[in-house]
Amino acid sequence: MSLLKAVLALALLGLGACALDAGKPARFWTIEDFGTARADAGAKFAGLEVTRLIAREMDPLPWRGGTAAKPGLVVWPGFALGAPRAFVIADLWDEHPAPWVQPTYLLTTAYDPKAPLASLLKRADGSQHPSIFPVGTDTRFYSPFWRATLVVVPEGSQGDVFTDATAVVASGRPQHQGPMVLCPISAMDAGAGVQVAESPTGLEHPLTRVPLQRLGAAAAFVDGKEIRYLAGGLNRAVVDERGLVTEFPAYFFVVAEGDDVTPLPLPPVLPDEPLTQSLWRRVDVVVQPPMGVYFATDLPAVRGALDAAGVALKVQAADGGVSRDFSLRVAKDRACFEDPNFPAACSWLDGRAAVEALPDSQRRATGTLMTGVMLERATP
Amino acid sequence: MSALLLTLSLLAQADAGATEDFVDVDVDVDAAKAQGQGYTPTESPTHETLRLTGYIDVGFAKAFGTGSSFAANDARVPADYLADAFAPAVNSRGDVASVEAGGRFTNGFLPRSMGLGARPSFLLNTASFDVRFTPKDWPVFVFARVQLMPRLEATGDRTRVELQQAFGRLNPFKEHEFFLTVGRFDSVFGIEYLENEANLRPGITPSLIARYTTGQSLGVKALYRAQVPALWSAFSVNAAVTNSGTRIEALVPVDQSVVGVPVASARLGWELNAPKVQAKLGVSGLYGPRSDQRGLDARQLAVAADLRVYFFFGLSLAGEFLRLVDEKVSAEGKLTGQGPAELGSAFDVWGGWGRVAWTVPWKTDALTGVTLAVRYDRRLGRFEGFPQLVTDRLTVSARVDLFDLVALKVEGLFNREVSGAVPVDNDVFTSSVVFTW
Repeated sequence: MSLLKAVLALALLGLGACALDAGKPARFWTIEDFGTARADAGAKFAGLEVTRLIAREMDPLPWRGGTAAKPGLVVWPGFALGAPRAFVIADLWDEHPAPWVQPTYLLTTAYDPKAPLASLLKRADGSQHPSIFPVGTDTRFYSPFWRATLVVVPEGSQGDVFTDATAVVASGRPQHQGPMVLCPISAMDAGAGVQVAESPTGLEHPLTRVPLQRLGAAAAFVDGKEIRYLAGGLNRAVVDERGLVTEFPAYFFVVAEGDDVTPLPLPPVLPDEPLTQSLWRRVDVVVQPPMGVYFATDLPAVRGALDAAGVALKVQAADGGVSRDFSLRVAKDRACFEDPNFPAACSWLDGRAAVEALPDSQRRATGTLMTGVMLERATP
Repeated sequence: MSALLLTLSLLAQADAGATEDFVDVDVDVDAAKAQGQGYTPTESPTHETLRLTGYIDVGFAKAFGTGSSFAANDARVPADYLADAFAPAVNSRGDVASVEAGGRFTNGFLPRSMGLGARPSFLLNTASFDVRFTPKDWPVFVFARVQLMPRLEATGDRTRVELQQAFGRLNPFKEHEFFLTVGRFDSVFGIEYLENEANLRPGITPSLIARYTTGQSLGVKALYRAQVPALWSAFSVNAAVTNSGTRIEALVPVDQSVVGVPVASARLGWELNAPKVQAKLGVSGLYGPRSDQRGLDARQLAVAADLRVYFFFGLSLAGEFLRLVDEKVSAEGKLTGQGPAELGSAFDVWGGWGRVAWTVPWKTDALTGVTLAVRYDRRLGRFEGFPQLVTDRLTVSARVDLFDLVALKVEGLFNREVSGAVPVDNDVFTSSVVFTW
């Protein structure tokens, strides 16, 4: 057998050049992959630098400046419908089919369609019985988009009633379809899992410094094993009749020379309702004169990156009279920066409609999909 | 005795690799054995130049549950990664009663389906037509098999036509059992391919591992067998280089190498032809690029062992064990004989079957054979990131041969989901009448 194997291995090598188009690699990366790769600051995922995806403790925080007091996913600034938003990127797919929705099983002692999550089974310590995911991140059929399926178990059920999805289905317990839930797996073990990076002043928008709500971290079971996930919220995705998550464009600013594309560290323009449209297709928007980028405060790292991109962008110096809400917005024509009616005089590329009004040649859809988990403003 | 001869001759051909084209049972195996020669098939003792043969397989089947292996309350996807869709087979092709997954996404690991659900129905499983040509003076043999399979599909009645085999074979050395075959032909892997056709199989349905070993592929194969009369034995090697390995056409494309590098497979065999008992032992291997991918970065590897023992009073034992691995793939897409699918996955499977069959040692002019058989199958299959599915099956079958032309068969399949898969009612009762000409 080994001789046969050796001969055939040689044949494979020798004839490899004859192989037809092998198809594009279909890849995906999860939060754990970001963490594993962070030791190499030059690592990239689908063209995005790992340093913009995850930060270890004391790593520089992109956009905001300073260092991370708590490690985790990097908070991105973005704009939707002209307003600043904040998000983290939890998963990336490259040249990959749109992710499928899997069920996640939540155990409940009673089902009320008006309040389907009101009677979730508790463990003895008062915590919620972990959800049961049918897959983890070790299959390309993983996605963070799950359909909550309420499984009714007898009141007073003790211990971990179910720890794998097959047993849940095989039990024949009544099932009720619940809301969509966004739960990116943050660790395939029972450790702390990855959370969201925080500055010394807490979790905040990196440009506006508005405080943000933390994402919950929770436990689930996959095939009998306890894991960790981030609770991204309810009804965060649109699903079609085939069970595929619907994608929406997120516009990332780049400079381009021919097919060479360099992403710029500018806030992307998000779908109009990013909270409920959290599967994004990266669409590159080519920045070119006479566009300009406004800086409300000096951000040396960002300015350095823009300078390094080799494109002469008009950058407005810090101006305390204009809200930080405008920081790093891209204006269609930088001449507006000199207008007495600035910033009202500017035509900003800070919403989907504005970007889609650009010539088609300035927008390039990519093969990259991502989960954008929105971080909402903290309530005082 | 004809049924016994049929069984013996079929199963004796594994080492010979003299496969599908020798469905005739007009060779006296007992006489051959008595001469210590083993059974060596020949094209035709009368050297007919052109022959037309074939069979018609008419079935009647009833599956239980929904006719598929998919649990109604299971929303996980891909559905075919979480249940063995091949379990509720209804005919010798391995077609199942249903692959209806309730709208759930599937990813190209499905058998062909009769679309019956749980409704009992008559079926025209296969109308098979063979053409064989044997020149009188030249060591050449040409064979083609066309099969028609009428099915009711969503768009209405439709008959699928398949050129299942088409090959030419050379026997360049008259004094040696050496055959070189080019075209589309039966697998050389394991032994179950010998029973692919309905008129040859003692029971009706294939085993749970047949999907990996019994496909017909396109390429070149060679057989060499050496007789050692002093040991009442023969040793053989049967090797093939083909487009798609040994999986059935529902799972992999056959008509073209989608990767550009062939798959190699081989079987080494030993057979003992003693007067009271005949035994055959073989080991098989397969290695090459995955046949459902266009890239070379993932390979398939399989090994198998098989054993058959025949006793003079009609009892036979047979079994096969398989281990197969598909490596992880990175490319998008997946190709199957039924069309494209979304993504390939790493996959591994263990499995096997064992069968006890008894051919009743008496016959009349009309009743030319009665064979009773029990087979146990077990399969442990796992797609990357999904639970290992452990399933098994008990198959009980009876076959009655009339006039050496008609086979009446009934069979019960008792499927069980042992672990990893949701238990479902997917047992099957099936029957078949096969007319051979």
